[in-house]
Amino acid sequence: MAKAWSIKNLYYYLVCLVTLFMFVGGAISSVNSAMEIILPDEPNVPIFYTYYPDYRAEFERPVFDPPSLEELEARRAEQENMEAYYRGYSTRRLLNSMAFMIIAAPFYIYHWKRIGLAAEERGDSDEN
Amino acid sequence: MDLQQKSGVIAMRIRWDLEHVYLYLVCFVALILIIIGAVNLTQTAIAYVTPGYDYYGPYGPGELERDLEIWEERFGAEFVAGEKERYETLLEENQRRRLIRDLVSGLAFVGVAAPVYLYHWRKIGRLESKNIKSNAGDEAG
Repeated sequence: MAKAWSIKNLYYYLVCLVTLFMFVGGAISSVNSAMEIILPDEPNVPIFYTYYPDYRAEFERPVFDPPSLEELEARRAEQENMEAYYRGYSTRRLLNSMAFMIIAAPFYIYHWKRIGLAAEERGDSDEN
Repeated sequence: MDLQQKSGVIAMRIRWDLEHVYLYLVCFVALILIIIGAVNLTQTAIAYVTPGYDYYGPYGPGELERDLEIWEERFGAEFVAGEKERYETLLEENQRRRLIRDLVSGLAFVGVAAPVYLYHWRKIGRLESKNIKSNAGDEAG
């Protein structure tokens, strides 16, 4: 391994350090996104959130004229479908995290090898 | 100065080469990640033994009770009770899922960072013992 302080070696080690932790961060983030896909939250919309009574003054009895229960259920189903739709972003987050890993890995490997080659050129030990 | 002291001085002197700095930096960041994972795991365990109350649901203390009253008047107490049961069942299931996700997240931090840490830490150990030996050999020669 190259030991000497030179701008070239410093550059190689810095690239390795950053890409290694890009890979590590991508791996951790991938596991989290995969768990969101495997074990998502069930949409949970209370039916009371599908219709709101109309308060015109603070202590006045509200105007409460909700639609039928079927209509309220349909509204709830729509809101729950919307929640499920936004969960689809977990797939995108998983792919984004995997992109970190896939892109960082070749840069790490290439620069790690360059460190070895630089050491050989300088005649440093490369046994470790 | 005996050999052990000499070795210590030599080791301190050579530790500042680029390879050592790199290996220690990797270990430092990996260790921080392991600590974050351990904290996550501890917090998940705390959340498991002290289940929280959902303050933002329709039955939370901030909600207007008269809202529920007018629903009860219109659709009956049984309907409101059924809705409450549905909501709380789903809430409980979601909290359980969240705990599992948090547990896996904490394990991911530890599981990914620990091999990186151990690999680089062992590398430091091997490197230092080798350097100490070679420097001691030079001194003796």
